[in-house]
Amino acid sequence: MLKRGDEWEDGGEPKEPSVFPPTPPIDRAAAALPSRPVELTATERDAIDRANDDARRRRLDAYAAMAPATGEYERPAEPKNSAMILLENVTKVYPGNVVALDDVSLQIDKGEWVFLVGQSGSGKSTLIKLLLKEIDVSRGNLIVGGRSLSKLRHSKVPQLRRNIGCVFQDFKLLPNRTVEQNVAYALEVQGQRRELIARKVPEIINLVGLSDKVARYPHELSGGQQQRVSIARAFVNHPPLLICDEPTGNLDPDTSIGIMQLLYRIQRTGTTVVMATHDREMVDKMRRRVVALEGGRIVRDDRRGGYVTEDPR
Amino acid sequence: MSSTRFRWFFGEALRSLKTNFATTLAAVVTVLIVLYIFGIGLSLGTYLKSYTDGVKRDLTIKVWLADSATEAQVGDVQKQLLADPRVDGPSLVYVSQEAALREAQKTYSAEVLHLVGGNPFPASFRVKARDARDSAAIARSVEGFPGLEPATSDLPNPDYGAKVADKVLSVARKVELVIGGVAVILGLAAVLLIGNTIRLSIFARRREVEVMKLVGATNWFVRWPFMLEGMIAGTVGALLAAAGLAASSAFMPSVFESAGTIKTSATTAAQAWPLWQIGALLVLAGLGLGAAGSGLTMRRFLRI
Repeated sequence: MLKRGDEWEDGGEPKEPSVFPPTPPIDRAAAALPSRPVELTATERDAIDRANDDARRRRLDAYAAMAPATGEYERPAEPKNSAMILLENVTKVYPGNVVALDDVSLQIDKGEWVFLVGQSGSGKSTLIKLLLKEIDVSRGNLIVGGRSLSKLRHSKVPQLRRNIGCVFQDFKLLPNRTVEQNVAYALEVQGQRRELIARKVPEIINLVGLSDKVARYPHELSGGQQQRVSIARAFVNHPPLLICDEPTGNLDPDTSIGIMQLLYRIQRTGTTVVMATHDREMVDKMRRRVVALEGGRIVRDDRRGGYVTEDPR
Repeated sequence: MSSTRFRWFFGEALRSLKTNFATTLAAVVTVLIVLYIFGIGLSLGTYLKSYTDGVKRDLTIKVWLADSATEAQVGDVQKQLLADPRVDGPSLVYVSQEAALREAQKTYSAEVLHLVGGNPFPASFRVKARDARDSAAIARSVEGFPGLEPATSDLPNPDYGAKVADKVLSVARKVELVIGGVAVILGLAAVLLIGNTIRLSIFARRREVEVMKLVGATNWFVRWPFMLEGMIAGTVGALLAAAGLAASSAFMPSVFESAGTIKTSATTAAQAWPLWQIGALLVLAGLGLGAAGSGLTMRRFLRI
């Protein structure tokens, strides 16, 4: 019980002298924040604006360079047997009657690059979890790489995942392993021979530009470097499908470009890329297929879309 | 599992034991403490059991024969005893009057025997039951046979030491129950404590398990290093517990030392299980608890 509680409530001074030295009165005028930001000269302001604009233009140019060549999407839609991912009226209901995906049908062809956009809770993550069979569909049919996932036995799930490279926002690296060991793990789980691992791992690490970091641990690397490691791990098997869940979500805009260029190069080898993202600049400039989800439904599916509109130009 | 695979798993387990040294230490110490207590319980328990068994073994049925008994009458009694399946046949001994006197001479002084004069000791059969609890029934089966010394109120014939025997048997049964109960409780405590420690250490690394599963590891691929880890930690803990028991036995020879038998009576030599046997059992327990503990705990985290 506080002895002096009542006195304090009264606002009266404690009767006994305090052991603490008296606090000097605060000089409010001196402590106040300047009411206006520090004044910049016109030339300084211009320099900052110009630098910002330059950085932005460089980024936009970099993304635009990864846009498909004209005519790439002019060919007719491919038949169903060329589908890498096929959703037929897929519904996912979580316990508690939470509908995360509501009767979604979607076809993603081999070699395609697809952005999944939508607010948090729109169903993007659920869709990605379904593709990896972390969770099962409630209704409908989901086919990945020609296999129906609802019919896939649990013992075959590791096999499925070895054919899907995953890149996540939080990198999901093994903290107690070096860069080299993290990448090697993806091969070790398949029981690959040691000679093959010893040959392939440095190759792929070189590809992502981390040759000088092979013996480092994830916590010793920057975010962008960690994401490169995770891409190396995802791609070391050369999987036909690469799933990225906001790969640049934790990275600054300039680092993001490097990551996207890496993924672009991977897609150019024929890999299908499905990427959930919130990066408007990137989606608008890369002019790829955009599937927009909202409340568990597809509200937009553009061949050459933008983040919010059909044609960002 | 090929040997290179096993080497890889073993290397993984060692690596992870090293990087998670704090949790490893916690698991080893838990196993050490739990198994040390279990080992003490086991030593005490087996010692008590051995003691009561010894007392039971010593329960002898004595059939006193009259001095006037004919050879045929003695033979009948012997036949009856040997025909009984509850009787431990090889234990049947015929003690002649002379032998009885010689035995008495060891216990009583010459003066006492001289005072009594002659040879007052009757001949007898001494026999043991296969199961001490059948002693009374066996005694009854030859009761009243011709050629037996007549029974009196304080000298029953045949004599199986009714009062002592009943007490010994009831105490022995209680001791066994208590030992069994304590063993179950200690075993349960061991499983729960060790299981909990393993759960904590795996829970701390559940993200790692998740990542392993996402890059396509099979359940067993993830599980093996964890189980080996548990087995190594369990074995090390058990070895330390066994070493602790050995050290303790140096201070308490009567309880632990296998060779150190205590003479509670002329014939009862109780002893606990030999130390090496208890040690081996502890190591097996540590190994099994470590493997089963991690293996079972893993199941929850592998459902991805």
